[in-house]
Amino acid sequence: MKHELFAVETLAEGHMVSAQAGSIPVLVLRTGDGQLRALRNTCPHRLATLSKGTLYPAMIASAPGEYEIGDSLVVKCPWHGYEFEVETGRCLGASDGTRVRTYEVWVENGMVCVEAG
Amino acid sequence: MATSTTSAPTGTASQASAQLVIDTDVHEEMSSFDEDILPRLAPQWRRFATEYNWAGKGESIADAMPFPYPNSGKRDDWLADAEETGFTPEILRRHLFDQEGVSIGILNGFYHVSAMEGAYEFAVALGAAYNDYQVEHWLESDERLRGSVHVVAHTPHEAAREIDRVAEHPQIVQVFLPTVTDREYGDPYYHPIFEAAQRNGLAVTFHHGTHTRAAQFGFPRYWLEWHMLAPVLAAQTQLASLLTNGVLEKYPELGFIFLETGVAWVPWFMWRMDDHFKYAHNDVPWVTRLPSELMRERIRISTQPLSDVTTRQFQKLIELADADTVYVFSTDWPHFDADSTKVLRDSSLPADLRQKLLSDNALDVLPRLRGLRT
Repeated sequence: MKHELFAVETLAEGHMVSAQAGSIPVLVLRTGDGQLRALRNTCPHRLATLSKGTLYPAMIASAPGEYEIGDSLVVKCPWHGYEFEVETGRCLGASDGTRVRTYEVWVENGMVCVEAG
Repeated sequence: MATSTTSAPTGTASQASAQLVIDTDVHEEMSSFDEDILPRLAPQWRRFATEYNWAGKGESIADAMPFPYPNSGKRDDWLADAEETGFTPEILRRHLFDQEGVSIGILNGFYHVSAMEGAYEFAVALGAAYNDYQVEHWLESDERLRGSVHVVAHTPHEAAREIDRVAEHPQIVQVFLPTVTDREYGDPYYHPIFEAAQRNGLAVTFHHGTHTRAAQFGFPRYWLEWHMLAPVLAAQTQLASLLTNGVLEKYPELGFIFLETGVAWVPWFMWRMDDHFKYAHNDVPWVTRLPSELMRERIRISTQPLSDVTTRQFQKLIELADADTVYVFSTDWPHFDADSTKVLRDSSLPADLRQKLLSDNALDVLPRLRGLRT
């Protein structure tokens, strides 16, 4: 179901906001190059509101000790720090399939819209 | 490279020409970490230096550990709330009493004067100053707060005098000791501290700090290892020391609280200690009761962090070890992994167990709070 959320110019690049798509809490963010992404705004671990956390590039490594700042953005949960890729909803390091749902998001007549529910 | 032709100061040139002098110990100093080092770091290391609550920006980095959690290790939403004022008594009131519904909050601080290595007389003075600050700035700001006496364990007789002094304040309920890892508190050397705690009707509480080493292998390579292992291994070692040295039997009115070690190790510890006491009792024949019995009566383990078990798993652990009296609720405010009261207000837990976890078990070992029992 389509939900119209807010005017796109109110969301700056590199920031995220919470929104409500019907009964579904949604986190909408804009990447550094202006792309929109939308995720469920609830951490699956202890149900914290993810939009109160941090949006930043993931720390990655090709081998033990080989730290790098990666290209992919993650949302870090404000409570215990679980990190979720904004592109896929995948929880970094969680090979058990822990993830948050992602939603299709686009701009229509200057308004951010998501397909959810 | 330019060549200077400036004359050397009088007397120096002749010495220099007569004798080559090599000084093998000269200390240059940075004027500013942010200007001298930070621009020379790659982006990933800049994140370590600026976002990981790292205390190594000064000249000494020996005890500085990068803490890979942004925002100084505080929960982001609480930190945002405290951004302008810092974590003041007013912010504490809002978070704990208003939002979480906590009734009484026991302050443990993070000022571990017992962890100072050397300069013990100075540490004693710092501890006394901190105790006075805690009373004046925090305890007297809200009657729902309770406090700790911070002492220097290296100087147990001075520690006992400080306990007698600070315990005169009615909101003081416990003595605080960091779970240091270079000595065991069960050693009779430290007993004056326990004696003083008991005569003042206080409990004794233990909490780790960044000085807490992880294990016999020394400091681990990564913070994850340290944070997972150090608090619980240090607590287990100190708890075993108290039990084997007969501290609980020597001070029969004294309760002990271990903070922030998680919950799941407790059944294993009780079973293994009981087993060892049965087959090696002749090693410590002065202990006449099983460790698990003493723990159920007077050892308390705080529930936070409960992030690694479900409510159902926690309940099962309690049933397996008959440990419904052992755990006490804690948030760890305002740290990043703080628990909410909601976790233990879960209606799937039996009402009597919720009551024990949220208040009764704490009241059992904190004599000065017993008047609050309903």
